[in-house]
Amino acid sequence: MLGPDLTLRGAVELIRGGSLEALRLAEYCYGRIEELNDRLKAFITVFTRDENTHSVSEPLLGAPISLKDLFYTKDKPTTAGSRILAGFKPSFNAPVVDALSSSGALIIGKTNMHEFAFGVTNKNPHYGVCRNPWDRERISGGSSGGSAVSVAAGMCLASLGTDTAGSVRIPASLCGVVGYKPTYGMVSAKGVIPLSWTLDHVGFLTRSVEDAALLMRITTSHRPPAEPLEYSIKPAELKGIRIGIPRNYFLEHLQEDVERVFYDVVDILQREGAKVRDITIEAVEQMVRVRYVIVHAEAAAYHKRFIRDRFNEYGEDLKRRLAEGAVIPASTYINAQRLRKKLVGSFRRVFKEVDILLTPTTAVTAPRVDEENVAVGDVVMDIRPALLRLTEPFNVVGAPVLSLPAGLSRERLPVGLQAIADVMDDDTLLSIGMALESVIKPIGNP
Amino acid sequence: MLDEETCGLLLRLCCVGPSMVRYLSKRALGRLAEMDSLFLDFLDMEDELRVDAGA
Repeated sequence: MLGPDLTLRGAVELIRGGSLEALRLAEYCYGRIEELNDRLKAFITVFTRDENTHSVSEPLLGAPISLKDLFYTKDKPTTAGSRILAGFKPSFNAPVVDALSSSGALIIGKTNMHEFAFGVTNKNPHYGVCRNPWDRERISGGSSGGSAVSVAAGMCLASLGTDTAGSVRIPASLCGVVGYKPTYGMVSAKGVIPLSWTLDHVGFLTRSVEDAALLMRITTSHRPPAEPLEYSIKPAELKGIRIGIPRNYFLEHLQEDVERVFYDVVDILQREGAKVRDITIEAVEQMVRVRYVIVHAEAAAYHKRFIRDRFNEYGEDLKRRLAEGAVIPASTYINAQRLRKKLVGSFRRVFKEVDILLTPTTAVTAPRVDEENVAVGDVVMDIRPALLRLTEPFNVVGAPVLSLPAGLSRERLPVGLQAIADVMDDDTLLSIGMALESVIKPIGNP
Repeated sequence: MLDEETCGLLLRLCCVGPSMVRYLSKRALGRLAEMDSLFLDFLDMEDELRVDAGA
């Protein structure tokens, strides 16, 4: 019963039915953390059993959930994975944390991340390299890497993360869990240490699409939490669903196993009666440039006081990124913002022709910890663009995106599938996501 | 050429201190300059002038 297969919904139903005690579930998760965290470095802070007065209230009935360590937690450490914030204890909880707590979640701890969420490897110079539970010689991906590892390794049932260019979806893909980035602004980012105000999205890492939908409902709902939630989103009928495959850019450079798994899923969907067609997304390279300028400029603005006084305390990669952000002229940033608005309009037009878009989530499976470059099809790339290139365009347009495990490589590493819907069409995305999940063979556990 | 003091003020305005300068590469700055001009190419000036005139 207990194990990395157990979903949030499954646990809640077992507890509600009386066949699982919430306390036993919490003890199991604490046990997994004690057993694995030294090696995986998934958590920066684990809240003790004493700190967690265990309220077993509806609808989450004490299910253990972790938080990326940039969500404010009242009077508890919030480091953003940086030495600069060591000792910082916020005076209030992020509203999204309050929403989970008041819905009966047990907040079990704060997870390791790329420093200040400004990177995708999770090789954190201060709190250790977050390692992939499928192969500990490989990275978890990031920046919500500890969140993905905590869910994949059975240390909790779900986790809150953030996604500015792929930081929920990339580690979800590399660690074999579900990652969901809702439409921009749907989940409050108040009390969340920012990387880029324009592009930050709060998101979820879970073991099923249904669990992601449940957390979305809880964190965006105004209804009183102390009652069982109805599951209003049902799996869609795949027959007749219009699926767009953007061949330009997105399918140009893929690792062989990623390409194989992706086309296997496309074949399954066609057999199920989905209408699959090729489409073109315009100006993707411009989206990538806009993403770079906005994130770097906004990060430099947020960090200006630390850059001035404590620059040497950042990790080496952060120093380089912040230096690059600091010299972006205001006119370049403003033109990037103007261009972003045009790109949103052209992107949304594709949804006149299709219901969702499908791509792989990452062009490669999890790179080794010591790798700086990876072979992607017939080219060699720096691992950062190799991991980011398929996810970052969708932050620029604010669209909702799901990453779900689609298969395994020959080295038994997870491969993620990315489904993208129109802005504000999260219900359609989740509904189709549930249907996709039901026809894709489960990848099992690390 | 800018004199040293003007250069220093320019860097200070960008919040780029001496310890930070070594993290700036010719490659990164070249890439940024290229992005800047590509944005201008993509933003349709004629279209914007038409909107302004209409307003």
